[in-house]
Amino acid sequence: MSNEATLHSHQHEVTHGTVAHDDHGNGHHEHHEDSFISKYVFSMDHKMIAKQFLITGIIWAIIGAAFSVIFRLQLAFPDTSFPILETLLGHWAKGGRITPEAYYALVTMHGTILVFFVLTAGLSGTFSNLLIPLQVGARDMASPFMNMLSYWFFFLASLVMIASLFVQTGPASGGWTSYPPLSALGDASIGSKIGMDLWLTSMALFVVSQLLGGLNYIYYPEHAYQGYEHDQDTFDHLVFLLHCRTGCIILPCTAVRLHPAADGPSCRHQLLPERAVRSR
Amino acid sequence: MDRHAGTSFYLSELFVAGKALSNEGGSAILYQHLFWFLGHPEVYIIILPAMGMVSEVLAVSSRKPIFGYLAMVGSLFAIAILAFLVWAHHMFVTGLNPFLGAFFVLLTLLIAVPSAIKVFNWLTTIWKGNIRFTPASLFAIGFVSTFISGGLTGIWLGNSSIDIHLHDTYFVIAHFHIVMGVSAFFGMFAGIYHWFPKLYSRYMNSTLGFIHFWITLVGAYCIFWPMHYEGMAGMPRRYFDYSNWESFKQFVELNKFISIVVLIVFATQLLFVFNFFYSIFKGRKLTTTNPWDATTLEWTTPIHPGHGNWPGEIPEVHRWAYDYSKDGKDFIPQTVPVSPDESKH
Repeated sequence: MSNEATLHSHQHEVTHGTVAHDDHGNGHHEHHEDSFISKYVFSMDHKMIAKQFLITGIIWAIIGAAFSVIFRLQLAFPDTSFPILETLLGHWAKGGRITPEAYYALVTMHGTILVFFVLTAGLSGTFSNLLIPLQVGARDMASPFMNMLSYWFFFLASLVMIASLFVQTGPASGGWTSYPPLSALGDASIGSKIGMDLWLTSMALFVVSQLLGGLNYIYYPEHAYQGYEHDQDTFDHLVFLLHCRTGCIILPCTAVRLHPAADGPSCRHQLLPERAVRSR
Repeated sequence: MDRHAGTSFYLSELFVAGKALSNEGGSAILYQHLFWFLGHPEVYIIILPAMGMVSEVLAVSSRKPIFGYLAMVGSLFAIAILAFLVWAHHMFVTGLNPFLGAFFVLLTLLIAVPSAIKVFNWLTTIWKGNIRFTPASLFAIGFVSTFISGGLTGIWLGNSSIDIHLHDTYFVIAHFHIVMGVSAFFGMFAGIYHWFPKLYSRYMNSTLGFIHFWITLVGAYCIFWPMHYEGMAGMPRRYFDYSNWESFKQFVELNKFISIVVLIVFATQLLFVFNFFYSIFKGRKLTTTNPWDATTLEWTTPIHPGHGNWPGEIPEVHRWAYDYSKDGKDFIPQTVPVSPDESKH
């Protein structure tokens, strides 16, 4: 609440009055105290964080969709050579035909990217952050700092996942579900080597990001009712969307904590750095 | 830990290339249980916010309250709870006890009930509404369409006996992509087109939005509908090349058709991306705080809301969010006090 109080008093200095409908200059009043970095990069404004999630999500969506285009080419024209693929993918598409290993890597990354990075982070990260405070009538999320961390953990997860695309043995290729033994045995396939380690590391970072975001979202259903005065039945007055958030908040908070359990290997091997490279 | 610390949680006694591994006692199935206990709720994490946005957009664009609001909330929570009780329907062919499978079939099919309630309520929300066709509302309607066609095949797949045949075939790909891929994306597109003015204080180009919608809707069905037939014929997923199988030769031309549509739909998404980034900088400027005549609080903030959202006091809420077409008024914002002679909603 202290954060809300500071924002509140700050707002009073800026301008007085009721809800301004035509106060177009209002946004500019605050600019002079925000540097470029604090406004656009390490922003703690839920609206900016929503934009960051959205744009990162869109970039991921283009990558994930482009992968599907490449493997659909293989499925439709298994005997045709597309020299452009060799230009793009090098030895993964020798002679303009992607290799089976590249095909499996593409399918795996297509699933991982779209399920987790686009539809989970890009969708929920964008609209939960944007709409929860705006629709309950709050000035920001419960913890803007945690919200910022949530985005930057997602960003780190993205970097690690991108990096895994460029290692010599390629990214994970055992399917987006990463079933063992392909995911647990390093020698099972080339995608089970360092690519799989990076996949697990990235997903662990992603889980942290979603957990931080989820904790913020869950705060509001509890406290949303404060802004709603003069109500006989506040439940009735909440926007339906907020109920959807409540529903889906319960899910990540439980599910997300399970994820490290499912990915046991990933969490532990970071605690054992001396063995992290190759101990098989 | 199995990878690097020599443990054996998910690896059992395995022979690889004739050589016995040192692992013993672990189970790959344990991983599948844990993964799907995460993974199934995960798909609802994706679809529930999309459902919320679609409900919101449908109410605003049909100028009507959400039909059956309480039923909507109830079915939402029913889905959220059931989401945790159905994970093993991904694992019917792992050697799961068929008796246990029967419970998972039952619980899985139960999800059809709240889902059907939601679909019914969306359709009755737009029924006889004064619909404003914007890219957002079209995508919201498209969501309902794809959610129905993707959801119905879920009833097939949820049966363990049918799943034995369809497991790991293109039927699963088709079901999953229509309901998770296309539906969830449609929800997201509806949200982006609808709240873009709030995000960037400009409009997106709606002509490009209409083109985007129609090509994506028709294209998505052209891509995923035929995959049901491939799956029913037993075509397995995750194969690199099907040309060696006599039984899948019949699908050579169909696969070409699908891939060509993929190229077209992909190009259309690039059009959306262009529209998005172009509109951030060059889109038509917002001149009103409430471009869609909506009742909710986000449209009471200034056109360029600063950090803190409202320049003065936080607005007070006096009514629910769905007073559309009430007492002869098109809409009544949540901030307007209830007058004594007002009819009940």
